[in-house]
Amino acid sequence: MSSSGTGRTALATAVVLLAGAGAFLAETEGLRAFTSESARRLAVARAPRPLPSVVLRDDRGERLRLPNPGRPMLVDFVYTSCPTLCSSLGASFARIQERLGEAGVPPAVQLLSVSFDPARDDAPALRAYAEAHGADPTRWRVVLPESEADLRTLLETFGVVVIPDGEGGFVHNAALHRIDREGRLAAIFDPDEIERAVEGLGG
Amino acid sequence: MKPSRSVGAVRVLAAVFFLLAIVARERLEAQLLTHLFVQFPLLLAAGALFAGPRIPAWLGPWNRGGVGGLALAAAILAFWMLPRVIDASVGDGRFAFAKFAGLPVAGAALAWSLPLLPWLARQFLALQTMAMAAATGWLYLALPERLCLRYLRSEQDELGTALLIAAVASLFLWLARVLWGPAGSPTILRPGRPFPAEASA
Repeated sequence: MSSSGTGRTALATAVVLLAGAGAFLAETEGLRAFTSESARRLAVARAPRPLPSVVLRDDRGERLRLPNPGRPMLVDFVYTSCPTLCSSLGASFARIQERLGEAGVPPAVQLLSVSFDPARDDAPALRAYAEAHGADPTRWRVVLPESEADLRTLLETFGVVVIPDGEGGFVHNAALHRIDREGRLAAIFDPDEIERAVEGLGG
Repeated sequence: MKPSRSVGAVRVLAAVFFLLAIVARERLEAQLLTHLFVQFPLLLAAGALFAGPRIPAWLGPWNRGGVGGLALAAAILAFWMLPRVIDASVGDGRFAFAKFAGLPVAGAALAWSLPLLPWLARQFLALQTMAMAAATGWLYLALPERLCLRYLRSEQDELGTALLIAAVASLFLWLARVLWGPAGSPTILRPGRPFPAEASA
């Protein structure tokens, strides 16, 4: 065998490994994001996403619009018949609501629980969820997007993936989404990261 | 001619595997286990069968000892082990295209490279793959996190169990071949194929 074969093989191997490492680094954001959830959080932190313009309706039929510039908010996604995850999200919002009250933040709707289950979450269902978690309507609203299209663009912008759990419920990202003063999705937290999530909501 | 006819038949089989992976896409990707344990192997096998065991002459010098091809296959497979890439291949057309193009290429690269490896290196690679499969399977079972947004936590458990079973089963097969392999097949007691360098010297 010629030694040129060795050289070409070494060259091909080096090119392939470099390209492979490049693709791997790019796709993991420099080894920091191996899952879609961590990638979504990094992407949002790096480049806040403007919200699409959508209309939401709460249990009393009152309409709320997003984006709502000038008012920082926290948004989570739930379905009210959820036995597990959404209850922990509800508990987080309840604690954040309490914290806002203690800190003397003037009442304003800053917490939004958005249902992605229009088939089951009618007004009474939304109200039951709100009451079960002690939602104070001056701070926290439980809402449903007015149209299927609004729901879809909202989930897409937030990067929330909802899949059926095979038992009539859903599995979905459990996270608190912070909307900044400019009306952009700017940070995503775990449900138990209350301290970090509440920062920037005051005043 | 007989040889060309059998090559043709193998290529038809490769095409069938490839088309099956695409046509049955929705069904295969509906579950994590069939996505990774059926669709991925179909695509790899399609590439390997289509390529055949013999590397084209012009490509030979770029793949001495199978090193270049193994590097290519390793790079592609490492990329496709990322949970976020698996998620993306379900929803994002670009990633789906990358999967249907990349995995057959990895299969072809393996088919053209594994036979060139020294016997010892092949055994090492086989055992290493089993060890990694077992470790990954254990990780999927032990992690409390759901790694793929498009799949349930329970499917992650299924995949972990399947990886563990596959690793243990392959280890037994490997051991059986080493201990009782038919005459002529390389075993530890009967070192077989010489290193390519020795063969060509």
